[in-house]
Amino acid sequence: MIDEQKVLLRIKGISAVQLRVWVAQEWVKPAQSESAAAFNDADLARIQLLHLLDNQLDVGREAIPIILSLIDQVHGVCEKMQVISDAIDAQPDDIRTEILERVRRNT
Amino acid sequence: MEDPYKILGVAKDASDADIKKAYRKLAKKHHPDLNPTDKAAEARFKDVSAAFEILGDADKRAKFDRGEIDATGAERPEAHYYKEYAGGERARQYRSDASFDDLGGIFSDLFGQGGPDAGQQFKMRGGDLRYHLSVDFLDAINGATRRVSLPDGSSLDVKVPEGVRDGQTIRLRGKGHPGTGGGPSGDAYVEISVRSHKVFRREADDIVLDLPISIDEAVLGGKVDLPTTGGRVRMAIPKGASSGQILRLKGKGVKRAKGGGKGDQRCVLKIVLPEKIDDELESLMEKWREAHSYDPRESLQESSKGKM
Repeated sequence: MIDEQKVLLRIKGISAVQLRVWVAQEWVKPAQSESAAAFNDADLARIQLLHLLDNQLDVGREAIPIILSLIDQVHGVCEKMQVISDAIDAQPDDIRTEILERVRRNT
Repeated sequence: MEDPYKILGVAKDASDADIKKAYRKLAKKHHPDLNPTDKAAEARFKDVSAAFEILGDADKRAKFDRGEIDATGAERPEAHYYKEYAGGERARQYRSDASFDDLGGIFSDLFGQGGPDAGQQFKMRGGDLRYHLSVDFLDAINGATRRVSLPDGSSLDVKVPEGVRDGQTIRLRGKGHPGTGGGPSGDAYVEISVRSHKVFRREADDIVLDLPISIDEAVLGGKVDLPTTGGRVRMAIPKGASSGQILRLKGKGVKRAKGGGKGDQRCVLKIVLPEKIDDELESLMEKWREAHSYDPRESLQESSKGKM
């Protein structure tokens, strides 16, 4: 976990003000440490993504929460799919084969 | 590597503005985070980025046009995309927690059947909270209770479990934001950082300690006192011990996350000579060498023969 200052050193091209705006908008949600915000690897990668959207691709401030929300939903769905896939995996062979065949027929 | 002009789809004499525009268009289309389930997008985005890395920089573009650098240009640091983390424990705060019945009714037939919650849409679970807590090495190994002070002045007692790992997240059920309309409270997730220790290191479930021994202890063997994460113990050093030799203290490591029991403490021996080599030691060694000289580097010569 790293603090705000280290984030700014790690990701070139964003300012403290900008980072605080992103946090205030809850586009980035760092953990609360005893003294300050603490960012983990996923937060850093997300800041990198925001840097791309906001500063490099100029997608427009209004579009960013929409994009983030869609991305988060896709990952949420992927997680659910994984749960179902694991559940199918745990079934006896004949049931798995039956399910896979159906999926194949319908896609 | 393909020609960067071809990758961006611009002419050799395209203006800087055109190049930037072409890059943005392609980046939006292929960025891995905007195509989380398309593996090929990452490769395409890499090509587009690499191409823009060169053509987007007047200096590099000129060098490329003159043939001074190839299409790979300068080496770029490995990019870490958000999607690499999005499915993991550390991105939990962003996961859209769509329940199965929210997925456009796809799974509701299977799991929900409408459910008893159908008429109570105002009953909502509270949001989760995220905290970070730094703990001392020994507290992480032995377990401890630590208090996190919250920005609103309140505090939260966190039971740090024995053997917690650096980066591990502890879930405190019901310690998040309160729910509304009688809904349950959210959870608190506390991510733990473990501070390093002056003498102990952790490797999986083992504790590693560099153990200095004297020259006479190495030659003659003997019992030595040494620290473990659970307190001091006595250990036998075998006769003729060498630096780098590892002595294992069974069960003196970290509580295993699975399967019970504990790891070991591995003591890596390190022979330390006295600060000052006195005459007695010197003459003893000289005399000993005359009759007993040996070559500890024999194996090095053996294995380097094959190679030039």
